[in-house]
Amino acid sequence: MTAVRPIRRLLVANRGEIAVRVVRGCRAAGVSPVAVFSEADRTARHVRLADGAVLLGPAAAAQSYLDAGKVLAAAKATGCDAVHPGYGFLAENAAFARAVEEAGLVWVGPPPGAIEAMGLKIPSRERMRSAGVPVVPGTHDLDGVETARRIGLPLVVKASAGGGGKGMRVVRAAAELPDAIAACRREAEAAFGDGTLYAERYLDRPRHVEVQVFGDRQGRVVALGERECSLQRRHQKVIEESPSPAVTPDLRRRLGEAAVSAARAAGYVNAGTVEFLLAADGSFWFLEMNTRLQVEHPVTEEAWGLDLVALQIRVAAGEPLPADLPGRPSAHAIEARVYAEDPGNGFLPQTGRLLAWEEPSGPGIRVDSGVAAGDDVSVHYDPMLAKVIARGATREEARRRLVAALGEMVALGVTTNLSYVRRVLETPQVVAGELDTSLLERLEVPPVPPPSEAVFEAAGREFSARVPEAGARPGSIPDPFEAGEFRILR
Amino acid sequence: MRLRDLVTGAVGDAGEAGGRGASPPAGGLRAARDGNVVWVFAAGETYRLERVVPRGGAEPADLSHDLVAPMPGKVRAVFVAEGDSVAKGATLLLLEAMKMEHPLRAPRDGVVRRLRVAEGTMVAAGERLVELE
Repeated sequence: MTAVRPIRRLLVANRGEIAVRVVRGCRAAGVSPVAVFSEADRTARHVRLADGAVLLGPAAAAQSYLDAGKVLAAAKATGCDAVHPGYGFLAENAAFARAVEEAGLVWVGPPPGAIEAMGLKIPSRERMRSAGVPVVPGTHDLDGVETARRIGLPLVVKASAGGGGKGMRVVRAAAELPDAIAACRREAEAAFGDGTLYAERYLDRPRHVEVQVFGDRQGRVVALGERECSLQRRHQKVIEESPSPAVTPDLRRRLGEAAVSAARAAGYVNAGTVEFLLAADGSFWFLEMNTRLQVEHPVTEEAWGLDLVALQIRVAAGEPLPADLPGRPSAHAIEARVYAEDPGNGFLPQTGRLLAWEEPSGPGIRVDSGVAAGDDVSVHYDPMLAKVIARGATREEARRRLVAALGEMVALGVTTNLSYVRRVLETPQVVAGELDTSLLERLEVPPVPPPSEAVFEAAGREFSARVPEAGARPGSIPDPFEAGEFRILR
Repeated sequence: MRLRDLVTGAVGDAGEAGGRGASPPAGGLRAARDGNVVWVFAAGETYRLERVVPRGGAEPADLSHDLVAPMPGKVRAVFVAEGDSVAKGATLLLLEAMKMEHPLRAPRDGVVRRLRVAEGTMVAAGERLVELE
């Protein structure tokens, strides 16, 4: 048993939408949040919402949000008694978690040993196999063609230290393997400082279904249902939902039992996620365990009626999990990630200044975002700007609400995937819930309609008297015929 | 509504064309301008329009023959040298941005006339990387 050690002030060691989310979780738990920020984020939303904020350093993440020494110093300097890492940056850095605890602060996350146990994919697979959790066949012995022969094609090469689709390649012909290994190693070394790779069988058209687990320091571990995250592009999740349209109550129970076994095998405490691939025949295979709060945690919160961040803080302080946690979802929730990327040009990340930003609202609508109009979307950080989450009594009600909300959302100045995700949600496959991890690659998404006359009129007005040209004499009205003609860029 | 005439080059009264005109489409309409580019949100879609022929202004340079950086980033690898013949779609270099590698491909068949970057070069969006002829 662990004594309850109340948390009064918490350092939010992150930026963007997840930092805003953690600030809100602090408010719900009655804790005072302190933000950290880089020089690029001086006026960012997470900084404005917190009770205090500490400048870490230059925009580059390595000199700010990834600098464990500076983040820990910020926590000490502001009298924080806990640190919440969010996701990404230092969230799965066991050395940082250990340093936080050794400094006498509460780490709002799993024990450093559990991060280490699950962070490296190769040992974690072995651990799961011993715990009786089904694991996809694979190897860490990457010797070219022989690997392909042993595992069978197609296979996927992954970074052992990886995650989020970085350092990952699918190989369908043995001849592609050497290039895939070289590219993965480069990405893995650049992104994680560790080029160790492994390969495993690539299941064609499986669903990605993951289970939210939660452990307290008294030894209780529970499963809080599943999230379906099959709609991915290049292994980056785009649309997630809970519950999964493919999971029956019986399958939910079996997935939950496997996930709890996995968490117990890792000595897990606090919030974590056990990812599985679900085959059409209902068999499922352990993929990896993420020892942190997931990006897509809001769909569990909305479907189950929970505040996972507030729960993380209370459990980290030593409180037991509530005795009356729900045993099943009470609603359906779907989330769309809003990325600064160009669907019309290979989904390349986009940068620029947000000239306008308006978030939707209404019954069942929640927006988790970290930006505001006037913010710069820079090359330094992740291109995800926001998540729009819709809750409904049924999947179809949630889907319709999400489609409407995405249609209301305004983001000007930086190209986003808003229209793309809305049109994906309207395709027959997604309406029917017939999802798999390669669906987005082959889905026929209807094109954007051409601009109406009103669009050209609005464009013309932007060049009229209301918006003087730079260098124009004050008070002068530019000749509207100076506006010229327009070319549609997208 | 003279402005419509001006931007579409049409002659006539937009107020009578197809019943459209002053009333914005359902869902509202927002516009914002950044230099010569106007962003317009209408009926759930976002359009980007560039003013291409300002009166008295110069024609924009033709960049269609060259490989241009689609976003800012760092050149991770270069697969061609000056004088190489390349086919349309061939990967010329890898650009790293936002922690991902993006292959940049030849926009057309051609010969590399000038290579303006090397491995490690930081590039801005719109910067010419490889000149083809």
